[in-house]
Amino acid sequence: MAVVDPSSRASLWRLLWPARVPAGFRRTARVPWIPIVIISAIVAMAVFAPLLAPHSPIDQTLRDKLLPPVWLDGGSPKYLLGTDAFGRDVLSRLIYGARVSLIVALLALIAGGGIGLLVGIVAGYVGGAVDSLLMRLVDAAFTFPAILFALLLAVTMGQGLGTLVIAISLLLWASFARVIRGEVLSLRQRDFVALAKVRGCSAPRIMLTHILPNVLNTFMVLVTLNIGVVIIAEATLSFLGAGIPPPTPTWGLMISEGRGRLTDAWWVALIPGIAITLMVLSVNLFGDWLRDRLDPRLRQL
Amino acid sequence: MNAPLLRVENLRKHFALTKGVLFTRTLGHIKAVDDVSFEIRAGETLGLVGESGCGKTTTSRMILNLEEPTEGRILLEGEPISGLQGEALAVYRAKVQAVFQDPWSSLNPRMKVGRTIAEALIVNRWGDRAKIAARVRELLLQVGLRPEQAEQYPHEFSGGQRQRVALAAALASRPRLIVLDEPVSALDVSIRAQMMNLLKDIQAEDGVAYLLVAHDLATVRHMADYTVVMYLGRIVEQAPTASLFAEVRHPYTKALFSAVLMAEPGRQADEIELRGEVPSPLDPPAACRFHTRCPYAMPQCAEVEPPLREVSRGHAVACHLFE
Amino acid sequence: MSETVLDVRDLHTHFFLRRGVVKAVDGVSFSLRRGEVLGLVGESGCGKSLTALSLMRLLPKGGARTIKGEVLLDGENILERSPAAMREIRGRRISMVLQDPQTSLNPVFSIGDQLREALLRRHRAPRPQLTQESVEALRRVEIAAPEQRLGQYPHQMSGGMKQRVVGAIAIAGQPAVLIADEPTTALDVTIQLQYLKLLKRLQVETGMAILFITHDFGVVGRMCDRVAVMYAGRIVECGPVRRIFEAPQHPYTRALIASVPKMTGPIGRLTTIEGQPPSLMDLPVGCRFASRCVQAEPRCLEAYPRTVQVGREHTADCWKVVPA
Repeated sequence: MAVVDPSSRASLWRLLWPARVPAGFRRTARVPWIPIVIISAIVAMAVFAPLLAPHSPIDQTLRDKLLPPVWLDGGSPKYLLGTDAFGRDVLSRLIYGARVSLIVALLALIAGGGIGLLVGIVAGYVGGAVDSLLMRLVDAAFTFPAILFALLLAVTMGQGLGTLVIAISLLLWASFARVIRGEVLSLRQRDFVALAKVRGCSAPRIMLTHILPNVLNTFMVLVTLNIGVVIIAEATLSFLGAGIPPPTPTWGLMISEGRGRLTDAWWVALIPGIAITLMVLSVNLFGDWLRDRLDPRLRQL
Repeated sequence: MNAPLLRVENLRKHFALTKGVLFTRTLGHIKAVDDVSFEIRAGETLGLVGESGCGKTTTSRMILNLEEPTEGRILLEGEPISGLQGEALAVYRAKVQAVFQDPWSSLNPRMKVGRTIAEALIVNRWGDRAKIAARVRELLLQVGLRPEQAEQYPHEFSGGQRQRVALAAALASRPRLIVLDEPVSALDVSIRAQMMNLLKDIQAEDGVAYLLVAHDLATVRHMADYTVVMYLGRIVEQAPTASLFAEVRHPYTKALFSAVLMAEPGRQADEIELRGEVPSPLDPPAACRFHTRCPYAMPQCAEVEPPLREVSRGHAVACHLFE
Repeated sequence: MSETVLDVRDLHTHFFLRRGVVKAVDGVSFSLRRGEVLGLVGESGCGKSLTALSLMRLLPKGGARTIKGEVLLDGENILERSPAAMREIRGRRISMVLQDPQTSLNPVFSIGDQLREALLRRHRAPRPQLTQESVEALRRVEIAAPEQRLGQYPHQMSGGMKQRVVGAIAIAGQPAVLIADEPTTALDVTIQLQYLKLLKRLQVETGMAILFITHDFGVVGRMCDRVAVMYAGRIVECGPVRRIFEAPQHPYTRALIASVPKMTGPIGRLTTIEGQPPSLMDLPVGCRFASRCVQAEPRCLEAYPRTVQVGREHTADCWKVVPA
């Protein structure tokens, strides 16, 4: 495989970064192994929760309430990370909580990200009045107090997974749409799009076969970078009582429940807090790496 | 004389220059193409020459139905192309194809080249999978690539090879006319010659007509049967290529010719160096648009627009010097 | 008169990538005399631009290093100078004009600001004097109404005009050597001619030497006194322009000149060079052009040819040429 492409145009960058090397592999940062391990562990926890959890996450054993983690005085090997005010095993709740967090993240990213992708492609490609209208909508979405809206939604629709996913999707789609549209605007100027028209492709066909595959990298990067946002949003809403209703364990809810006892039973709130921090930090580090690898243009984000 | 394949009649394209997003106001009109007429005969090459901003690319984009003319008509085999819809547009698209300048931007990086070549066939439901695959193989061989390269992605190809792929894709629907917009200017010298030879071979085999948009006169000389020279949206001179190169008439064309740097030192004789730069097409000079830079300008050049007038067989010039 | 101002000896600049070493400049030697224009011609990827950047010591980030060779500017090896000393040398003793005027000028500063800054590198002077000198500098590159231009920004100018400003900035420090890397490639032909004439005039006036990098033999014919032809990281032929055009010795030079479409003579099939240049990561031991050369014979594949003196000031790297 020739490194320097001889017949490309006289461009220094062509010489330095030969076109045969896919764009993403130019400045390969070190693979973030630690974040990958943490993310994998949390995903495994969520998937295999029934097998991993030593206790039921819901059943209360009031006799064992507020036991500290095993390494502290009074800790019991039965409850490795201690118990909460209702005598529920913190470790088991943490493991099941990962499930809820990841399911919410997945659904919200599919819904919100998907809408953003669609809006971004249509606005960017069709342009004109459609673009103006959609982008004003995006602007409006940015000015909307998302948390307030979510609380309102929880009141009118009732708490639950559906409400949570809708609320978070509404928070997400606009930022997706804006970035994707920018990408499409520059893609639209590329000759292969004009040539597709000359070959006889319809507008939907061009968007599907020429535009979409070329923004998927960016989309994947956005998805990864937003996992952290979603997990925090879920935790926030659950904390505020607009999320999944108790007793289903979620990380946000766990913090909310432990909040009042930070002085005497800090582990109830702190342990899920550490889990959120680790997860968000890991997905962000992984997302940064993915962005550098796949889409150098997004670096300024 | 056989009937022309493509006729362009009094073509105009004015772009409105606007300001503001919501409450737009028009600042003026850029007359990118202003009253241009020519014809291309089947199996021939027409060279469209000029510097940037002369309107040659806009003209070609109107012929490709990528831009709507402000005025004037384009007729393919006698049929006007404006307002073509559905089936009729598909038929037109199959007959008129294009190859653009930049081989790096012409191919979808996420699409296998075989699929790119097959695009026009797939869109037109030309045949089943096997039939299309066979046609793609045939096309790859025709442009000097290997059939198994259909499975590769554009980044695995060099610039010259990509331009061959782009040509194969243009040839797929057996077009009658291919618009070649600076097809070799992005390529290296040695690759350029390969591509030009290939284009000529394909024309000899398939009888396809070319509209060659180019700035390089030597390329036009080697490729075109007929040459049209444009300046600021107008045709200043048009002639059979041999006649034009034998005797250049219009002062602008003369200046273009003397700006060609020959690979022969010391061969720069009667040089015309133009003063200044091309005026803005937003506010082009009145009457003859070249009079502000013309070394032979006369008073009437600023007052009366010189019509395109035939000075010898097929050779027309828009200049008051030839009246 | 034939005093050497820049002497490049056995220059090697390689890219050290994970996947291997790209030998982009691999043993380049040439010299440039005061007041001379030397053309450096070759196709993309031959290493001509990287040669220029090596001379300026402005190598791109990402693993490029000059590992061997000397660049003697007035007898002093500038490859050994400190980065601070190099900053003093750049702009004052050796300067550069690049292909794209769009990216050579800073869009947020006015033309006047950019010129004054360049002039400040030549000497400390009060602002009014620098402004006066900027007007002079613009007048020298034949820009009409220079006083008004000073307050303008790059986007208000045409490509040709911008390239003139770039030229004015490049020569503001009165360098002894100007490296021009494809300065007219982005310009229209009539504007190109204007620019080349201007550059030639300035060169005659100031007596600076120009290393003119281009892929266009037409430009070479118009501008250069001597020409060096580069292929796959090395100069394969070097000689006076007239000799190179009339009697090219290296088969690559010959084929390259033959493949350019001509404005006169018969119109037939163009001569082409079949195949592709070798990978710079995996260069052959023998002549680098051998795989595409119609005259290649076994010894061409076995060893890189010696440099043969084929005429006065005319050398070629080929086993088949006959020494003069």
